[in-house]
This record gives sequence, structure tokens and C-alpha cells, in this order.
Amino acid sequence: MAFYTDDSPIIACSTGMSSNTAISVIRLSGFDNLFSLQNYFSFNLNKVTKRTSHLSNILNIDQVLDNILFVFFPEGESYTGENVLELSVHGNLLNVQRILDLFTKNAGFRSAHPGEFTYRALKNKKLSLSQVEGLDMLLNANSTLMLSQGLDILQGDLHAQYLALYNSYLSLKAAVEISIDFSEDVGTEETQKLFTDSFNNFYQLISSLKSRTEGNISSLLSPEIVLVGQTNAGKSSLFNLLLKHNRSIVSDIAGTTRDYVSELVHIEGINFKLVDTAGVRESKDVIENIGIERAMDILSRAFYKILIVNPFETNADYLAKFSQIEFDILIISHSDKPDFQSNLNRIDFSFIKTHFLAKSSFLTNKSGSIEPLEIFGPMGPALLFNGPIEPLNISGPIEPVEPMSHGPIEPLLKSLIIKKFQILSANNPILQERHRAIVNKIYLKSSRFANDFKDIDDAAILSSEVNILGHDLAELVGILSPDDVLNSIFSNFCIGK
Amino acid sequence: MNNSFDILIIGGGHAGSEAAWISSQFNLRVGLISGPGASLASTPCNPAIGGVGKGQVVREIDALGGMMGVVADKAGIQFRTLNESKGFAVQSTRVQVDKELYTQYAEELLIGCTNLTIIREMVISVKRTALGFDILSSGGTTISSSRVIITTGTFLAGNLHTGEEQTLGGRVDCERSVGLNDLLSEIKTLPNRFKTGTPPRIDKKTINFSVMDPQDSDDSTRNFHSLSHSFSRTTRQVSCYLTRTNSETLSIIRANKERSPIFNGQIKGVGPRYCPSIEDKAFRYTEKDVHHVFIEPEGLNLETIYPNGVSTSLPKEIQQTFIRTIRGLEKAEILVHGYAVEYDVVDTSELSRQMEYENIPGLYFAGQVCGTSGYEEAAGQGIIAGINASLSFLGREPLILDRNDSYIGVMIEDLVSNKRDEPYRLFTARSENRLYVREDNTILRMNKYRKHLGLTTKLDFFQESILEEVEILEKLIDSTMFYAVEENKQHFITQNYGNLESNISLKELLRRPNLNPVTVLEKECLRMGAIFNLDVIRTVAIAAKYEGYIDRAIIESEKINRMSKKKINWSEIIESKNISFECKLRIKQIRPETFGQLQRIDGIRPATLAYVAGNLI
Repeated sequence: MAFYTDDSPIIACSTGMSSNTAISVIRLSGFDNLFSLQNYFSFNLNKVTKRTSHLSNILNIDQVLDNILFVFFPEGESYTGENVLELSVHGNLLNVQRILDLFTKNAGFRSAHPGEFTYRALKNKKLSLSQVEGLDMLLNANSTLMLSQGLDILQGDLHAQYLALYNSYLSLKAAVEISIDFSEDVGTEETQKLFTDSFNNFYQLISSLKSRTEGNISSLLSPEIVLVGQTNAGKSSLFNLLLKHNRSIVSDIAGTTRDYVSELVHIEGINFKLVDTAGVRESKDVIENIGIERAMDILSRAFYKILIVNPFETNADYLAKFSQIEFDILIISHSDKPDFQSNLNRIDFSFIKTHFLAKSSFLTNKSGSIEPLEIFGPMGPALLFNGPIEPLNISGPIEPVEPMSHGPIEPLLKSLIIKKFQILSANNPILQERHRAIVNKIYLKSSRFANDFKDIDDAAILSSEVNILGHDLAELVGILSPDDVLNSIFSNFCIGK
Repeated sequence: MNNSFDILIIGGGHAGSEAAWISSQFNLRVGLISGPGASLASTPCNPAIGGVGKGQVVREIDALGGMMGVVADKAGIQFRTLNESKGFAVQSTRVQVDKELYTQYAEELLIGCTNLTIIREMVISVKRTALGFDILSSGGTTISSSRVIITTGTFLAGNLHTGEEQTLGGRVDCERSVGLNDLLSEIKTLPNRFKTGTPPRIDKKTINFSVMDPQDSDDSTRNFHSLSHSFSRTTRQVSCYLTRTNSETLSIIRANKERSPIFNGQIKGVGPRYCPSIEDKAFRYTEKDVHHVFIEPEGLNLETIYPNGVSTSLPKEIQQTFIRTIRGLEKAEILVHGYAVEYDVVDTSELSRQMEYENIPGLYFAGQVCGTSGYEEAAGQGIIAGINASLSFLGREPLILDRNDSYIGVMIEDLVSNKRDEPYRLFTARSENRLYVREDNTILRMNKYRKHLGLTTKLDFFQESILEEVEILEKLIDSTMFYAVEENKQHFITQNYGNLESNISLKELLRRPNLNPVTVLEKECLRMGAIFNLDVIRTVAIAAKYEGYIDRAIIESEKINRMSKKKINWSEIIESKNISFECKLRIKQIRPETFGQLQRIDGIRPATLAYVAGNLI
């Protein structure tokens, strides 16, 4: 982090140096005065209008290096808070390098370190710490959800909520201090009320932030649809069915475990990874056990969990292994076979938790499909499902209920998956790991506090506890954060951002 | 008259008296020059000593060997423990004093010092000389001294306001002194003068006390002075009373906004937000009409009553009208009208933590002239200025109090590390270490500072013996075990100590929630036949109770503020162009040495902190 101590002018190509492009943008920041750079511009820099594009040649003594557009952002009105020049140059890598060299060798600039422009913006209060993290998210997003939240933090919405929390905390702290230093002036009852009111307000704000950290966020960032079930249950058929119309253009998935068959599917603008745990299943018991462990692992981070059960070939021990998992849907296949109901009644489903239950026939066709189906939802017809998502505990044999919907399975499943995704992302989850951790820490402390404070008759202890809460808050709002936070944030940046 | 002193104090209020008293303990030649009309150590406003946070200061002064606690105990006519139900750490003593007796006892103490000369004259100017200072007095004499302590309170260019009436003076019926810059032109004053105010005094005979809530003196409140018996009283005790303002009171004030000097622009000085006048309350809290008014006697033989809470500078006839709307004051006659006073304040960021003006060695400041309010704050600075002027004269190391173990330390660091923009008062909230900086452990906290003075009096031997007793009792509670046997189990049940399931130490018992550690330890000492000073038992019991919380608070704040102790180089920081002009100015004025001090400067931007923090990594 050596660059923290150095305020010298910096330069970098902000658009990356990986290939030749039509245009590259070079950013210069922290120079004392624009006119000191006159030697390198054919344009008369005395005539520069701030925040306006000007056409100029870039000069190295008498040699014209390039014909460029440049914009000058004066100190206080720029991204970094310092004097900034942005040059739009021709994006040939040799050309870009030559212009960078011109400034580093002759004009006292040095190459910017990763994240240095943004660090200067933070230093000069052009961005808050949270906003810097938002920017990081925006620039490094690998999902549309991250993209939109990055923008949200950057534009200050989430940051405004943090500030509201911080302000509410300040009133809470003030209430405690008033009860100690001014209770004679204000009156004991009133100070008590002030404290209770401000704590309730604070608790409400932190609870609502906390609700935005709930759920498995990684499952939203790279959502996986996971199929589990025994051999011949119909997993592969369902896999192929879902894949058939929705195969993503992107076919290569980084980090896929070889044991699984997986493909990217594209449903209503969102990329899901469809995983068939078939690949781990073998008839040998030992291997099946290893397979189940792996299935458990992938289930733990899955976004949508589908269990398929063939009532004609079901092993009760197998089902029992999933007692800790909440499935999104349980599909019971082969419902068109004779003796379906009697076989179904034979199975103990009491271990299984699922939000939906579907019975589907198993009709093999060319593409391998299981349909049509009947679907049962705990909250009314599946298509009208609008959350909240509550687990449904099935105990005992499944009673056939009034079929709520008939039809092909594929559009139904897709709509359930999308609904769930919309509900979870509508809650506007906080994606930044540091924020999630601190919000949860504050929430935990406050709920402990909510339980305890009625019993704390010692105002000094109360105040000491409130102070401790405040340390975490300052960390969230980024007023003063431990140095390692800065380290980790800035190590994620690339040159020139 | 001897015209040459080792230490000369200008001003005889609480700061000046305390400075003179402690300096005289060092056997130096001390002079105290005070205006002819003004009594020494007088209480011109609220006739009370102590209060939340301030009670701790009085005890700190007492442990250093000061006079305030001694005088307050003797002149005390109503003793109370504030925040009694809020936990030991924030409990504070407050004593209503008979203002005549207070001054009388203080003057007796000072006059009794044979090496202290009291000069009743005004000061015209202070000149620097090769050997120190020459002070020209109103009597035409020149007094020289190598160390000068200025404790002029509100007297420097003081202006009094009552409605449209303006008079020049330091307080009612007292001549003011010249402005600070006329005294010594090199001294930097704050650009904004400060303002404070006082309520009208009411004739005791015209008050109907029967409709007010009485507040009696509390027998169980401890005296300030550590060498006195804790609960002895030398003066007859009386009650204070509580009444309240109402909508009629406030509507009269609100209807006369244009006649209020603070709101019509006549007064430009900045008043304290924490001690608002009734006008402030009326216009700042427009939805609130009911405010407490404490009816406090000014003395056993005085006819005047101090109505605490209705400080005002409104015209006299309006004061009379609104006072009579208050329950119990319907027939009240005003004997002295309320007024506000504006005065010069020295820029305390020019002072060192020894209260010495950095650019003028040998010149010290203390008290209200430093922008504080309150007798205790003034006395606290006075004793530190007196001690350091004396130590400096004797060529010894200065005494610097740490903010972590004393409220005086908190106050002085706050003063010298900042430019004040309003009068400064101590609150417990100003201390980061409130669980430790308590009244009960004052001797433990202050003994090392008292030792630094190198004096050997009864007080020093007493403090040593208390420290020894504390050490013994601390070992005892650590080593005394309650084994989980039937006899002890039974004992726990009869005493309501809760269950005894496994062996615990006496210390662990003291930490149990919902137990009063002090009464438990008293009982257990008695049971063991161990005789300890009751104040020692109290200190040790409370310390045991808080120990865990204090450790936790320290760990938590260390975690976050581990940077605050890092040294910074302010002169390098202000060279950076990444810091705003305004911040640079502030840093230049304050010259912070650590990151923590930088953080505490008002108006330092987060960006500056982030920048400096970045540089510390």
C-alpha cells in the first residue's frame, strides 16, 4: 500500500491494455496546474473550458504523436477530487504506450497503481468507502444483480440507508447520554421514553437491513438448479427437457465439478446453471454414498432444488438422507403407470421438506420428457405463487388433493424458478460480503441488546454497550475503518479505474 | 507591601483561589490580586458544587490537595447523590452551598496561608520583562512575578445585559476589567465572545413552598473531602423544591422575542447549549412548555432564592411577569434581576496541557476565561495551573493528567486540542473511560498525581493507607472461596445471593447481576471479621463489578482505535494538497500529535482522516 503516502501525479490507460481498440482513454490525475502540460498539447490550454471536449495534437517536442480529444476536470469537480485530464486517443497499443511514456518520462507522472484513482477519490471524499465497494461491484460484476447493486451503492441509495442507520444510532447514543448527564433537566420518564423510542427505531432499521442479508447470496449470484433423485427417477429426462429450449449460448462453465453433468440455461434473461447429479450415481453402494455427500455439498449452495422420486423404485434410506434439505419442489414421476397410488402410499415422505409437490407422468419421447403433470402448492395454485416461501413439511403418505393445475411441466417449472428468483432479488439483498458481515454483526448485537437492556439498570454499562455497537457502525458507514479493509478493497482494483 | 512574587494569580474566583491555595503549599511567595468589590471564591450563579461529572472533578481536586471539597462540605446545606439509580460509575455528588459561608470559609483558608498575599486591586496591564512579568495595578503599583496565572472569569471586557439595559461589568455590582488584549496584546482570543446568564433572585418570603415538591438533603451522600468523616454535616440542612413552567410562562416569553437581547441581536456572544436560558428553551423547543424549575436557597441567612432553570436576560418587567406564572411563585418578588454577561475568551488551543500559554512561557490561564463554565471546571484548571506554575518555578517536571483516568485530564485535553465554539462544560459523556473514572475510586486514580507534587502532609499518608487497604482487600476477595457445600449453599439462600452450584470466589459473587456488590462485600467482611474502611470496601466492590465491562470496553475500543495512539507528523500532513484548506488551518492551530487527537478536532473531515489513516498504514 505504498501509494497511500504519495500524492504525485499519476497516469494510466483506463480502458485496458489487452488489445488494439478504436479508442483508448488515458486518465491523468493530481497535476498542479494544467498549463504546466502545455508543451505536450497543440491546443492553447489557456483557452480550455472545464468539462468540455477539445481537439488537440499530442506533441513530443515537435513531433505529433496523435490527434486526440481531451476533457479537463478541475480540482474539486473531478472523479478523484484532483485536477484530472482524460485523453481519448487512438487505441493502438503501441500508440497508447507511447503517450503514457511521454508523460511518465518527461512530465513527472508515474503509472497509477491498481485502484489508485479510486483511492484518491475516497481520500478526497468524492466517494465513500461503501461507494468504492459499489464501484468495485459494478466493475467486476458477473451477474446482472451485482451490476444493479453496484450502481445502487454508487448512486448512494444503500449508502443513504447506512447513513440513516448511523444517524439513528447517534440518537440512541444521545438518549443514553442524556439519561446520564441530563436526567435532572429532562426528567427520568422522558429520558427512558427517548431511549426506548430511539432503540426501537434503530432496531427497525437494522432489522430491515438484516433482512436484506438473509438467504444464500451466492445462490443468487450464480444460481444453480440442482436435480437429485435415484437412478431411473427421471432426472436426465427433466434435465434434457429444461435444456432443450433454454440452452445458453455460453456453454463452457468454469469451475464445474466433473462429477456432475451441468449446462447453462437461460431463462428470462437470467443464466442458471442446471446440474444433474446423475454423474455421481453408481449402482455400487459405496460410490452412491460418496455421490450423496457431493450432492449434499452442491445442494447446500443451490438456488433451486428439485427432488425427483420414482415411487416404483424408491429406497427409504435414500430419502431419509435428505431430511436436512428444503426442496423447492418434489416431483413424483411415473404417475401414469398402473399401481402408482398404491406404490406412492407405501413411501414414507415424513423426512422430506418441500415447497411444492408435483406428480408427473413419465412418457418417454424423443427428447426425453416427463409430462403432463399435476402440481400442488402450499399457498394455492403454483402459477399464482407469490411468496413468502415457507417450507412445507410432508408427513405420512401423500393424500391426493384437488389437482390445481395440469399441463406441460417445463413452463410451470420455469415460472416457479423465475418467481423465486424475482422474490429473492426483489428483497434487494446486500451482496457485498463485508457489508453483510457487519450488518449481521450489528443485528446480532442489537438483538442481544434488545433482550438485555431492560435488565441493565446501570446506565454506564448500557452506554458502554452502546459504544461498542457504534464501532461496528462506523465500520459500515466507512467513516473510519480498520486499515485492513482498505487493503482488501483496493487490492481488487485494476489500473485506471 | 512586597511587590515581587514567585507566582502571581490575577483573579480570585474558583480557579484563582485554587491556584493560589495549591501554589502556597509549595512554600513559594504567592500573590493573589482580585478586584476590590468581588469576594473570593464566590458563587455568583447556581449556589451548588458538584453535579454529574463535576462531583468527580471536585473529588479529583480534593485528592490533589485542593480546597474546593473542604469548603463545599463545610458550607453545604443540602447534599444529594445524583443518578443514584443509574449505576455506580455515573453517580455524582452535588452539594447546595450557603454562598456567604462558602466565601467566608474559602477566604479563611486563603488568609491562613502565611506565604500568600491577597491584593485588592484591579490590573491595568501585564508586561513581559526579562525575568517574567510586570503587572501594573489600578493603585499605581507595579508588581513583578516570574509566573502569572490569569483567572479572570467573565470580567475581561464584560458586558451585562438585562433587556435593553446594558452595563459594563464582570458580574452584577462588579466592575469589569480591561479586555484581554489591552492586558497583553500578544494573546490570541477567540473571535466570538462567550455569553452566559443567570436567573433573577427571588425573595424567599414571597414563595409558596407548600405547592412544590420538596427535595430533602440526603444523609447517605458522602462528603467531598477525603479526610472528613463521610457523612458528617457541619451546617444545618435544608430542602430544595421543584416546580415547573407552564404554557402561560412560555407564551409571555415568546411574545417578547424582540425584547430579548439574545434573539434581537443585542448579544452576539455564544451561550452554552447545555445550559440554555429560558428564552432559548422557549424558541428552540417551541412544542414544549413544561420545564423544571429548581428552587434553591442561596444561604441559611440570605433572603434570596435561586430559581434554577429560568436564566434570562429579558427586561425587568417581563422577568417579573413570567416568574409569577410559575406555580408557587404567584406572589414572588424579584430582589436581583437576571442578566446575561458577554466576555473575552482566550484561545485555549494556544495553551499546553500544563495550562501554560505556549508562546509566552510563564503565563498560565485557568477557569472561565478559558471558555469553560462551572465552578468545578474552573477550580480543576486552577489547581493544575497552580501546580504547574509552581513546579516550573521549582524547575521540576510538569504534571500532566491523562484523560483516561481523570475528568480534569479529559477537560484539559479537550480544551487545548480544540478551538471552542461554545462554553465548555464537563459531562460524563466526554470521557471514553466512564466506567473507570468514578467518584468512589478517586484516590486510586489520583494518588500518582498527588505523589508527583512531592508534598508530605496528612493527605499523603492517608492516601497511602487507603491504597494499602485496597490492595489487601482485593487479594482477599480473590482468594476467598465459597465451596459448594451445604453450609455455604444455605448462606447463599438466606442472603439472596442466588444458587451455589460450584465453587466460586468472593469476587465472582460480587459480579453477579442484580446484587449490590457494596452491601454484599460489607456483609461478607463482617462475617469474616475483616475490618476495612467502608470507603475501601465500596471501591473494591464496585471495581470488581465493573472489571469485566471495563476490560471489554478497552478491548473493543483498542480494536477499532488502535490507530488513535499512532504518532502523526502534523507539519507534514498540512503540506499535502489532498487536504482541504480549512482542515489544514485547524490542524495547524491544534498541532495534533496522535491520530486520536486529530480525530477529536471539531470540523476535521472524514476525508482528511482517511487520508492520514492511509498514510499511517
